Amino acid sequence: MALRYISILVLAAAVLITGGAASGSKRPAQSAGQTLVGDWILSFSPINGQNFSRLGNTLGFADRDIAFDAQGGLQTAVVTREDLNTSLHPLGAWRVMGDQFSATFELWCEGATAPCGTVTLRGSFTDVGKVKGTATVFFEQDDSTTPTGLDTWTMAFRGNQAAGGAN
Amino acid sequence: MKQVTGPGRLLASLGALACLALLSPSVLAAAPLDGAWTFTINIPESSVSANQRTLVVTVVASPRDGALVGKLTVTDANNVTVAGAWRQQGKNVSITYELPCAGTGDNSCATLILKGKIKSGKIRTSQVIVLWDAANNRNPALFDTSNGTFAAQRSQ
Repeated sequence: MALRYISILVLAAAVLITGGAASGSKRPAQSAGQTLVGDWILSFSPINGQNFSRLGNTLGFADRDIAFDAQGGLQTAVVTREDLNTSLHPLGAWRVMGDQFSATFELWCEGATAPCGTVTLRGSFTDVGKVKGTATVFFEQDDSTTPTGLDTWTMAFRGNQAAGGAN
Repeated sequence: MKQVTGPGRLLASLGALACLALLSPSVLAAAPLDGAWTFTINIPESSVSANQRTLVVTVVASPRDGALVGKLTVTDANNVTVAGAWRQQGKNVSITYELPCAGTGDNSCATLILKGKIKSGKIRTSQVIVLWDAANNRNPALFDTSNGTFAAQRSQ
């Protein structure tokens, strides 16, 4: 009888230890639950007070509405509202890995006097309908000081899914 | 009919060139990316690897329909298709898409940005920028980056 109790205690301890290790892992395996599909409102802010890139380029810190879609296995996105210019609708694509996501967009630069570019968003799901992360902009202007050779700028962002979303 | 010779022919030629220069930009613009292409992309296996890997993908770019950016699909050798976006200004083309993750870990997933110039059914002067998922505060992009190259040929 004592041996049975000891076995149960050892088994319980093993379950607790295994569970604790799993909850402390960097990326919980929850890829089945997270999706960006739906409409999101993203708010951007400077990182370390950097309002411009090293070469003086910027996208500003307007709020952006982004519609993420997934049809036929194709995960696409479009910026539906850009406060700096309401006629701009950059297109992009996205993916989700566990609680992390990545999205990339080609900017719409009609009549722009500054270099155009490509924007990537890297972030994580922080709660139901909430995300945060960083945006990296690769401007089409040479900068020999960066590893890519392009002028590069980053912003922080936080996002909330619009009411009625699918997340 | 009087034949134009000597200085007259030169003036006529110059006049024709001037007329060509005055044609609308749409007539003289570079061919759009619309259509199917075969891309051969060379990038590092990871941000910490010196080994290169070659991706041969089929890119189908949808017409922009008056917009400045367009959608496209990228199909790899494993027949996995993902979405992407493209922009063209004159001959200069920029394409971006999310590379399907090859495995687990920050170095198995990446975003690709491909830049080049369209000329005669090919894309030349190419550059690939790889933005890996591995965070790196010392990189201006805040993530590991790598550079690569690509060659592209229109397949349809």
